[in-house]
Amino acid sequence: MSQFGMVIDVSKCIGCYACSIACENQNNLAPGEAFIHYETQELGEYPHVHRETVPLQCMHCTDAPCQQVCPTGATYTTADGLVMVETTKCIGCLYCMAACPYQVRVVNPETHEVRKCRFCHIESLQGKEPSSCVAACPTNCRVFGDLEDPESEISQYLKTHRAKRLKGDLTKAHLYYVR
Amino acid sequence: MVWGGIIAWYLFLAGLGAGAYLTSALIDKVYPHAHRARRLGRIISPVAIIIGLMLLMLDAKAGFAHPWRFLLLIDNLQTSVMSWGVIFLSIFVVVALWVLLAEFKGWEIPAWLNILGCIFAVCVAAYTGVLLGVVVTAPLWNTPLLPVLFLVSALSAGVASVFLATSILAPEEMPQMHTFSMWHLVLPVLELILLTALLVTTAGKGETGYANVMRFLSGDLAILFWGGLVIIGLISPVIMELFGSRRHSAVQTVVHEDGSISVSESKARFDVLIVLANIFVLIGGFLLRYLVVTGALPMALL
Repeated sequence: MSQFGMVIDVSKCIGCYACSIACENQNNLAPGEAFIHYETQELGEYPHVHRETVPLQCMHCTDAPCQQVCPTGATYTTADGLVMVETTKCIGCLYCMAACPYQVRVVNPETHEVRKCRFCHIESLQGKEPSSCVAACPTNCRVFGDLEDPESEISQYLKTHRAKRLKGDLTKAHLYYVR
Repeated sequence: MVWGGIIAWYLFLAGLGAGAYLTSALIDKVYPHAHRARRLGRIISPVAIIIGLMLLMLDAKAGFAHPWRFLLLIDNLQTSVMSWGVIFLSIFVVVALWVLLAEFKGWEIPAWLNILGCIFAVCVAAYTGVLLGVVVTAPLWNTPLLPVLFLVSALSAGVASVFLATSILAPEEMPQMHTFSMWHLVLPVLELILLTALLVTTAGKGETGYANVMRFLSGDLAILFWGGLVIIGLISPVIMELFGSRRHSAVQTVVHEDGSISVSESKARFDVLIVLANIFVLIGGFLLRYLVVTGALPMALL
Protein backbone atom coordinates (compact mmCIF):
# COMPACT_ATOMS: atom_id res chain seq x y z
CA MET A 1 0.00 0.00 0.00
CA SER A 2 1.20 3.47 -0.81
CA GLN A 3 1.99 6.08 1.81
CA PHE A 4 2.01 9.49 0.22
CA GLY A 5 4.24 12.27 1.43
CA MET A 6 6.09 15.39 0.38
CA VAL A 7 9.51 16.92 0.69
CA ILE A 8 9.87 20.69 0.71
CA ASP A 9 13.40 21.81 -0.05
CA VAL A 10 13.46 25.04 1.91
CA SER A 11 17.01 25.76 0.72
CA LYS A 12 15.50 26.36 -2.74
CA CYS A 13 12.46 28.37 -1.55
CA ILE A 14 12.49 32.01 -2.64
CA GLY A 15 9.38 32.93 -0.62
CA CYS A 16 7.26 33.86 -3.64
CA TYR A 17 4.06 32.37 -2.12
CA ALA A 18 3.04 30.91 -5.51
CA CYS A 19 2.25 27.58 -3.78
CA SER A 20 -0.34 29.21 -1.53
CA ILE A 21 -1.93 31.11 -4.43
CA ALA A 22 -2.13 27.92 -6.52
CA CYS A 23 -3.67 26.12 -3.56
CA GLU A 24 -6.31 28.83 -3.14
CA ASN A 25 -7.27 28.45 -6.80
CA GLN A 26 -7.24 24.67 -6.74
CA ASN A 27 -9.35 24.38 -3.59
CA ASN A 28 -11.50 27.46 -4.14
CA LEU A 29 -10.52 28.88 -0.76
CA ALA A 30 -12.13 31.89 0.85
CA PRO A 31 -9.95 34.88 1.78
CA GLY A 32 -8.04 34.03 4.93
CA GLU A 33 -8.63 30.31 4.52
CA ALA A 34 -5.17 29.47 3.15
CA PHE A 35 -4.10 25.84 3.58
CA ILE A 36 -0.46 26.90 3.25
CA HIS A 37 1.05 29.54 5.44
CA TYR A 38 4.60 30.56 6.17
CA GLU A 39 6.98 30.94 9.06
CA THR A 40 10.09 33.01 8.49
CA GLN A 41 13.26 33.44 10.47
CA GLU A 42 16.63 35.12 10.08
CA LEU A 43 19.65 32.87 10.38
CA GLY A 44 23.40 33.29 10.64
CA GLU A 45 25.54 36.14 11.92
CA TYR A 46 26.34 39.40 10.27
CA PRO A 47 27.51 39.68 7.53
CA HIS A 48 26.66 36.08 6.62
CA VAL A 49 22.92 36.15 7.16
CA HIS A 50 19.97 34.81 5.27
CA ARG A 51 16.24 34.70 5.65
CA GLU A 52 14.52 31.33 5.67
CA THR A 53 10.90 30.94 4.54
CA VAL A 54 9.29 27.69 5.64
CA PRO A 55 5.94 26.80 4.04
CA LEU A 56 3.61 24.98 6.43
CA GLN A 57 0.61 22.81 5.59
CA CYS A 58 -1.01 19.61 6.81
CA MET A 59 1.75 17.05 7.43
CA HIS A 60 -0.59 14.05 7.08
CA CYS A 61 0.83 12.46 10.25
CA THR A 62 0.46 8.70 10.67
CA ASP A 63 -0.33 9.37 14.34
CA ALA A 64 -2.39 12.49 13.60
CA PRO A 65 -3.28 14.31 16.85
CA CYS A 66 -6.18 16.02 15.04
CA GLN A 67 -7.74 12.65 14.25
CA GLN A 68 -7.19 11.41 17.80
CA VAL A 69 -9.14 14.29 19.34
CA CYS A 70 -11.90 14.59 16.71
CA PRO A 71 -15.05 13.47 18.57
CA THR A 72 -17.26 12.88 15.53
CA GLY A 73 -14.86 10.91 13.35
CA ALA A 74 -14.91 13.69 10.73
CA THR A 75 -11.12 13.45 10.49
CA TYR A 76 -9.89 10.10 9.19
CA THR A 77 -6.86 8.58 7.47
CA THR A 78 -7.11 6.89 4.09
CA ALA A 79 -5.31 3.65 3.23
CA ASP A 80 -2.84 5.81 1.28
CA GLY A 81 -1.83 7.67 4.43
CA LEU A 82 -3.79 10.83 3.65
CA VAL A 83 -5.43 12.57 6.59
CA MET A 84 -8.79 13.85 5.36
CA VAL A 85 -11.81 15.74 6.73
CA GLU A 86 -15.33 14.55 6.00
CA THR A 87 -16.83 18.02 6.38
CA THR A 88 -20.42 16.73 6.53
CA LYS A 89 -19.50 15.20 9.92
CA CYS A 90 -17.71 18.30 11.27
CA ILE A 91 -19.47 20.20 14.07
CA GLY A 92 -16.84 22.96 14.18
CA CYS A 93 -15.74 22.33 17.76
CA LEU A 94 -12.19 23.30 16.70
CA TYR A 95 -10.62 20.64 18.94
CA CYS A 96 -8.53 19.44 15.96
CA MET A 97 -7.22 22.97 15.41
CA ALA A 98 -6.11 23.13 19.02
CA ALA A 99 -4.54 19.67 18.83
CA CYS A 100 -2.60 20.16 15.57
CA PRO A 101 0.94 21.04 16.71
CA TYR A 102 1.65 22.64 13.32
CA GLN A 103 -1.46 24.87 13.50
CA VAL A 104 -2.32 24.26 9.85
CA ARG A 105 -6.07 23.68 10.07
CA VAL A 106 -8.43 26.49 9.12
CA VAL A 107 -12.12 27.25 9.54
CA ASN A 108 -14.18 27.92 6.44
CA PRO A 109 -15.75 31.33 7.15
CA GLU A 110 -19.06 30.34 5.55
CA THR A 111 -19.71 26.77 6.69
CA HIS A 112 -17.59 27.02 9.89
CA GLU A 113 -16.30 23.54 9.08
CA VAL A 114 -12.61 22.86 9.50
CA ARG A 115 -10.52 22.16 6.41
CA LYS A 116 -6.88 21.74 5.48
CA CYS A 117 -4.46 20.52 2.81
CA ARG A 118 -5.70 17.29 1.23
CA PHE A 119 -2.58 16.52 -0.84
CA CYS A 120 -4.56 17.33 -4.00
CA HIS A 121 -1.43 16.77 -6.09
CA ILE A 122 -2.34 13.08 -5.84
CA GLU A 123 -4.77 13.86 -8.69
CA SER A 124 -1.77 14.14 -11.02
CA LEU A 125 -1.35 10.38 -10.63
CA GLN A 126 -4.89 9.99 -11.99
CA GLY A 127 -3.99 11.90 -15.18
CA LYS A 128 -5.31 15.26 -14.03
CA GLU A 129 -3.32 18.47 -13.89
CA PRO A 130 -4.13 20.10 -10.58
CA SER A 131 -3.14 23.69 -9.92
CA SER A 132 -1.23 22.37 -6.93
CA CYS A 133 1.58 23.73 -4.79
CA VAL A 134 3.88 21.16 -6.37
CA ALA A 135 3.03 22.20 -9.92
CA ALA A 136 3.19 25.93 -9.17
CA CYS A 137 6.56 26.08 -7.45
CA PRO A 138 8.96 27.90 -9.83
CA THR A 139 12.10 26.52 -8.15
CA ASN A 140 10.82 22.95 -7.80
CA CYS A 141 11.07 22.99 -4.01
CA ARG A 142 8.40 20.36 -3.69
CA VAL A 143 8.59 16.65 -4.38
CA PHE A 144 5.44 14.58 -3.94
CA GLY A 145 5.16 10.81 -4.07
CA ASP A 146 4.96 7.43 -2.41
CA LEU A 147 7.19 7.12 0.64
CA GLU A 148 6.86 3.31 0.60
CA ASP A 149 8.11 2.93 -2.96
CA PRO A 150 11.95 2.95 -2.86
CA GLU A 151 12.07 3.83 -6.58
CA SER A 152 9.84 6.91 -6.30
CA GLU A 153 11.29 10.39 -6.80
CA ILE A 154 10.52 11.34 -3.21
CA SER A 155 12.26 8.27 -1.77
CA GLN A 156 15.33 9.02 -3.91
CA TYR A 157 15.24 12.67 -2.81
CA LEU A 158 15.04 11.67 0.86
CA LYS A 159 18.06 9.41 0.35
CA THR A 160 20.25 12.03 -1.31
CA HIS A 161 19.26 15.04 0.78
CA ARG A 162 19.29 15.66 4.50
CA ALA A 163 15.55 15.87 4.88
CA LYS A 164 14.00 16.01 8.34
CA ARG A 165 10.58 16.37 9.85
CA LEU A 166 9.84 19.89 11.08
CA LYS A 167 9.75 19.05 14.79
CA GLY A 168 11.69 15.79 15.02
CA ASP A 169 9.68 12.98 16.55
CA LEU A 170 6.77 15.16 17.65
CA THR A 171 4.51 13.32 15.19
CA LYS A 172 5.08 10.81 12.39
CA ALA A 173 4.64 13.51 9.76
CA HIS A 174 4.57 12.65 6.04
CA LEU A 175 6.05 16.06 5.24
CA TYR A 176 9.82 16.43 5.23
CA TYR A 177 11.97 19.53 4.99
CA VAL A 178 15.44 20.09 3.57
CA ARG A 179 16.80 23.14 5.40
CA MET B 1 -5.09 29.38 20.78
CA VAL B 2 -8.30 28.63 18.92
CA TRP B 3 -10.94 28.94 21.63
CA GLY B 4 -12.41 32.10 23.09
CA GLY B 5 -14.55 33.34 25.96
CA ILE B 6 -17.56 31.13 25.20
CA ILE B 7 -15.55 27.96 25.79
CA ALA B 8 -14.18 29.49 29.00
CA TRP B 9 -17.78 30.09 30.15
CA TYR B 10 -18.68 26.51 29.24
CA LEU B 11 -15.76 25.00 31.15
CA PHE B 12 -16.57 27.23 34.13
CA LEU B 13 -20.29 26.35 34.16
CA ALA B 14 -19.65 22.62 33.69
CA GLY B 15 -17.25 22.70 36.63
CA LEU B 16 -19.63 24.83 38.71
CA GLY B 17 -22.54 22.46 38.02
CA ALA B 18 -20.49 19.44 39.03
CA GLY B 19 -19.24 21.25 42.12
CA ALA B 20 -22.76 22.34 43.11
CA TYR B 21 -23.94 18.73 42.89
CA LEU B 22 -21.13 17.54 45.16
CA THR B 23 -21.84 20.43 47.54
CA SER B 24 -25.51 19.57 47.89
CA ALA B 25 -24.66 15.88 48.37
CA LEU B 26 -22.31 16.87 51.18
CA ILE B 27 -24.86 19.25 52.74
CA ASP B 28 -27.40 16.41 52.64
CA LYS B 29 -25.03 14.19 54.65
CA VAL B 30 -23.54 16.70 57.09
CA TYR B 31 -26.31 19.27 57.58
CA PRO B 32 -29.55 17.34 57.04
CA HIS B 33 -31.56 20.32 58.34
CA ALA B 34 -30.29 22.71 55.67
CA HIS B 35 -33.09 21.73 53.29
CA ARG B 36 -33.16 24.87 51.26
CA ALA B 37 -29.39 25.01 50.78
CA ARG B 38 -29.43 21.42 49.53
CA ARG B 39 -32.36 22.15 47.26
CA LEU B 40 -30.66 25.25 45.84
CA GLY B 41 -27.57 23.17 45.05
CA ARG B 42 -29.67 20.61 43.26
CA ILE B 43 -31.28 23.36 41.17
CA ILE B 44 -28.02 25.15 40.36
CA SER B 45 -26.26 21.97 39.25
CA PRO B 46 -28.31 20.94 36.19
CA VAL B 47 -29.16 24.54 35.28
CA ALA B 48 -25.47 25.55 35.13
CA ILE B 49 -24.51 22.46 33.12
CA ILE B 50 -27.36 22.91 30.66
CA ILE B 51 -26.55 26.60 30.09
CA GLY B 52 -22.91 25.57 29.55
CA LEU B 53 -23.88 22.90 27.03
CA MET B 54 -26.08 25.36 25.16
CA LEU B 55 -23.14 27.76 24.91
CA LEU B 56 -21.02 24.88 23.64
CA MET B 57 -23.48 24.06 20.88
CA LEU B 58 -23.74 27.73 19.97
CA ASP B 59 -19.95 27.90 19.65
CA ALA B 60 -19.69 24.76 17.47
CA LYS B 61 -21.18 26.66 14.55
CA ALA B 62 -21.03 23.92 11.93
CA GLY B 63 -22.94 21.66 14.31
CA PHE B 64 -25.37 24.43 15.23
CA ALA B 65 -26.24 24.74 11.53
CA HIS B 66 -26.60 20.94 11.21
CA PRO B 67 -27.77 19.76 14.64
CA TRP B 68 -27.96 16.08 13.72
CA ARG B 69 -24.17 16.09 13.47
CA PHE B 70 -24.09 16.34 17.29
CA LEU B 71 -25.27 12.73 17.35
CA LEU B 72 -21.82 11.77 16.02
CA LEU B 73 -20.13 13.24 19.10
CA ILE B 74 -19.57 9.83 20.70
CA ASP B 75 -18.12 8.36 17.51
CA ASN B 76 -14.52 8.43 18.70
CA LEU B 77 -14.46 6.91 22.19
CA GLN B 78 -11.16 5.19 21.35
CA THR B 79 -9.08 8.34 21.41
CA SER B 80 -11.15 11.51 21.82
CA VAL B 81 -11.44 13.04 25.28
CA MET B 82 -14.35 15.11 23.98
CA SER B 83 -16.35 11.98 23.14
CA TRP B 84 -15.86 10.76 26.71
CA GLY B 85 -16.80 14.19 28.00
CA VAL B 86 -20.09 13.97 26.13
CA ILE B 87 -20.80 10.59 27.79
CA PHE B 88 -19.96 12.00 31.24
CA LEU B 89 -22.03 15.14 30.69
CA SER B 90 -25.02 13.23 29.33
CA ILE B 91 -25.16 10.78 32.24
CA PHE B 92 -24.51 13.54 34.76
CA VAL B 93 -27.26 15.80 33.41
CA VAL B 94 -29.77 12.93 33.53
CA VAL B 95 -28.83 12.05 37.12
CA ALA B 96 -28.84 15.70 38.24
CA LEU B 97 -32.29 16.28 36.69
CA TRP B 98 -33.61 13.07 38.23
CA VAL B 99 -32.33 14.12 41.67
CA LEU B 100 -33.86 17.57 41.19
CA LEU B 101 -37.22 16.04 40.26
CA ALA B 102 -37.05 13.73 43.29
CA GLU B 103 -36.24 16.74 45.48
CA PHE B 104 -39.40 18.55 44.39
CA LYS B 105 -41.64 15.47 44.38
CA GLY B 106 -40.33 14.46 47.80
CA TRP B 107 -39.19 11.05 46.54
CA GLU B 108 -36.52 9.11 48.36
CA ILE B 109 -33.25 9.33 46.41
CA PRO B 110 -31.59 5.91 46.36
CA ALA B 111 -28.02 5.90 47.67
CA TRP B 112 -26.63 4.34 44.48
CA LEU B 113 -28.07 7.17 42.40
CA ASN B 114 -26.48 9.78 44.61
CA ILE B 115 -23.14 7.98 44.49
CA LEU B 116 -23.43 7.66 40.70
CA GLY B 117 -24.12 11.40 40.52
CA CYS B 118 -21.08 12.19 42.67
CA ILE B 119 -18.82 9.94 40.57
CA PHE B 120 -19.95 11.54 37.33
CA ALA B 121 -19.71 15.02 38.86
CA VAL B 122 -16.02 14.34 39.54
CA CYS B 123 -15.64 12.95 36.00
CA VAL B 124 -17.22 16.06 34.47
CA ALA B 125 -15.13 18.46 36.54
CA ALA B 126 -11.86 16.63 35.83
CA TYR B 127 -12.72 16.10 32.15
CA THR B 128 -12.79 19.86 31.55
CA GLY B 129 -9.10 19.83 32.49
CA VAL B 130 -8.19 16.64 30.61
CA LEU B 131 -9.79 18.12 27.47
CA LEU B 132 -7.07 20.76 27.42
CA GLY B 133 -4.47 18.56 29.13
CA VAL B 134 -4.00 16.24 26.14
CA VAL B 135 -3.27 19.10 23.74
CA VAL B 136 0.46 19.00 22.99
CA THR B 137 0.35 22.28 21.04
CA ALA B 138 0.07 24.45 24.17
CA PRO B 139 2.73 23.90 26.86
CA LEU B 140 0.44 25.60 29.41
CA TRP B 141 -2.29 22.99 28.86
CA ASN B 142 -0.26 19.85 28.35
CA THR B 143 0.09 18.73 31.96
CA PRO B 144 -1.76 16.42 34.39
CA LEU B 145 -1.83 19.37 36.82
CA LEU B 146 -4.59 21.02 34.83
CA PRO B 147 -7.35 18.43 35.54
CA VAL B 148 -6.47 18.58 39.25
CA LEU B 149 -6.52 22.39 39.28
CA PHE B 150 -9.84 22.48 37.38
CA LEU B 151 -11.35 19.88 39.73
CA VAL B 152 -10.42 21.89 42.81
CA SER B 153 -11.64 25.10 41.16
CA ALA B 154 -14.90 23.37 40.18
CA LEU B 155 -15.52 22.33 43.78
CA SER B 156 -14.69 25.83 44.95
CA ALA B 157 -17.10 27.42 42.45
CA GLY B 158 -19.77 24.83 43.30
CA VAL B 159 -19.56 25.58 47.02
CA ALA B 160 -19.56 29.32 46.32
CA SER B 161 -22.62 29.13 44.07
CA VAL B 162 -24.62 27.20 46.67
CA PHE B 163 -23.47 29.49 49.51
CA LEU B 164 -24.23 32.58 47.47
CA ALA B 165 -27.75 31.41 46.65
CA THR B 166 -28.34 30.28 50.23
CA SER B 167 -27.04 33.49 51.81
CA ILE B 168 -29.45 35.49 49.63
CA LEU B 169 -32.52 33.22 49.48
CA ALA B 170 -32.25 31.28 52.74
CA PRO B 171 -29.91 33.23 55.05
CA GLU B 172 -31.39 31.53 58.12
CA GLU B 173 -29.63 28.31 57.07
CA MET B 174 -26.17 29.84 56.80
CA PRO B 175 -25.17 29.80 60.51
CA GLN B 176 -25.75 26.06 60.89
CA MET B 177 -23.37 25.42 57.97
CA HIS B 178 -20.60 27.66 59.28
CA THR B 179 -18.18 24.74 59.76
CA PHE B 180 -18.58 24.11 56.04
CA SER B 181 -17.08 27.47 55.18
CA MET B 182 -13.61 26.12 55.95
CA TRP B 183 -13.77 24.94 52.34
CA HIS B 184 -13.41 28.57 51.42
CA LEU B 185 -10.07 28.53 53.19
CA VAL B 186 -8.81 25.16 52.04
CA LEU B 187 -9.81 25.24 48.36
CA PRO B 188 -8.39 28.66 47.36
CA VAL B 189 -5.13 27.89 49.17
CA LEU B 190 -4.96 24.54 47.34
CA GLU B 191 -5.71 26.37 44.09
CA LEU B 192 -2.92 28.85 44.74
CA ILE B 193 -0.47 26.00 45.28
CA LEU B 194 -1.61 24.18 42.12
CA LEU B 195 -1.57 27.39 40.08
CA THR B 196 1.99 28.11 41.23
CA ALA B 197 3.01 24.56 40.31
CA LEU B 198 1.37 24.96 36.89
CA LEU B 199 3.21 28.20 36.18
CA VAL B 200 6.57 26.96 37.44
CA THR B 201 6.45 23.75 35.37
CA THR B 202 5.16 25.62 32.30
CA ALA B 203 7.95 28.19 32.56
CA GLY B 204 10.43 25.32 32.38
CA LYS B 205 9.01 24.03 29.11
CA GLY B 206 11.14 26.00 26.69
CA GLU B 207 10.66 29.36 25.05
CA THR B 208 6.91 29.19 24.51
CA GLY B 209 6.18 28.00 28.04
CA TYR B 210 8.29 30.77 29.50
CA ALA B 211 6.69 33.41 27.28
CA ASN B 212 3.26 32.13 28.28
CA VAL B 213 3.98 32.44 32.00
CA MET B 214 5.43 35.92 31.50
CA ARG B 215 2.28 36.87 29.61
CA PHE B 216 0.38 36.26 32.86
CA LEU B 217 2.93 37.67 35.28
CA SER B 218 3.92 40.85 33.45
CA GLY B 219 2.42 40.81 29.95
CA ASP B 220 -0.90 41.76 28.40
CA LEU B 221 -2.87 39.52 30.80
CA ALA B 222 -1.09 40.64 33.98
CA ILE B 223 -3.95 42.86 35.23
CA LEU B 224 -6.51 40.08 34.84
CA PHE B 225 -4.12 37.55 36.35
CA TRP B 226 -2.94 39.49 39.40
CA GLY B 227 -5.91 41.74 40.04
CA GLY B 228 -8.70 39.43 38.93
CA LEU B 229 -7.59 35.87 39.56
CA VAL B 230 -5.00 36.11 42.34
CA ILE B 231 -6.25 39.05 44.44
CA ILE B 232 -10.03 39.06 43.89
CA GLY B 233 -10.53 35.39 43.07
CA LEU B 234 -8.17 33.57 45.41
CA ILE B 235 -6.70 35.74 48.19
CA SER B 236 -9.58 38.03 49.13
CA PRO B 237 -12.09 35.19 49.75
CA VAL B 238 -9.61 33.63 52.16
CA ILE B 239 -9.19 36.92 54.05
CA MET B 240 -12.95 37.57 54.08
CA GLU B 241 -13.59 34.04 55.29
CA LEU B 242 -11.12 34.47 58.13
CA PHE B 243 -12.97 37.60 59.26
CA GLY B 244 -16.36 36.05 58.64
CA SER B 245 -15.67 32.85 60.56
CA ARG B 246 -14.55 34.87 63.58
CA ARG B 247 -17.94 36.53 63.61
CA HIS B 248 -19.72 33.23 63.04
CA SER B 249 -18.08 31.60 66.02
CA ALA B 250 -20.03 34.01 68.21
CA VAL B 251 -23.25 32.61 66.83
CA GLN B 252 -24.99 29.83 68.69
CA THR B 253 -27.03 27.44 66.61
CA VAL B 254 -29.45 25.09 68.30
CA VAL B 255 -31.07 22.24 66.46
CA HIS B 256 -34.16 21.09 68.35
CA GLU B 257 -35.47 17.54 68.56
CA ASP B 258 -38.22 18.22 66.06
CA GLY B 259 -35.73 19.46 63.49
CA SER B 260 -36.41 23.14 63.88
CA ILE B 261 -33.50 25.47 64.30
CA SER B 262 -33.04 28.52 66.41
CA VAL B 263 -30.15 30.87 66.11
CA SER B 264 -29.04 33.16 68.89
CA GLU B 265 -28.29 36.76 67.99
CA SER B 266 -29.53 38.36 64.86
CA LYS B 267 -26.69 37.12 62.65
CA ALA B 268 -28.98 34.93 60.60
CA ARG B 269 -29.53 37.77 58.21
CA PHE B 270 -28.28 38.68 54.80
CA ASP B 271 -24.53 38.95 55.26
CA VAL B 272 -22.82 41.27 52.75
CA LEU B 273 -19.37 39.93 53.53
CA ILE B 274 -20.35 36.33 52.79
CA VAL B 275 -22.22 37.31 49.63
CA LEU B 276 -19.18 39.25 48.38
CA ALA B 277 -16.74 36.47 49.28
CA ASN B 278 -18.76 33.97 47.27
CA ILE B 279 -19.09 36.29 44.29
CA PHE B 280 -15.31 36.77 44.39
CA VAL B 281 -14.77 32.99 44.39
CA LEU B 282 -17.01 32.71 41.32
CA ILE B 283 -15.14 35.53 39.55
CA GLY B 284 -11.89 33.72 40.32
CA GLY B 285 -13.26 30.43 38.99
CA PHE B 286 -14.29 32.03 35.72
CA LEU B 287 -11.06 33.99 35.31
CA LEU B 288 -8.99 30.83 35.85
CA ARG B 289 -10.78 29.18 32.89
CA TYR B 290 -10.70 32.38 30.84
CA LEU B 291 -6.97 32.94 31.32
CA VAL B 292 -6.04 29.31 30.73
CA VAL B 293 -8.25 28.94 27.64
CA THR B 294 -7.66 32.26 25.90
CA GLY B 295 -4.20 33.04 27.26
CA ALA B 296 -2.42 29.88 26.12
CA LEU B 297 0.32 30.26 23.52
CA PRO B 298 0.94 27.62 20.82
CA MET B 299 4.44 26.21 20.56
CA ALA B 300 6.94 27.88 18.25
CA LEU B 301 7.40 26.00 14.98
CA LEU B 302 10.88 27.04 13.88
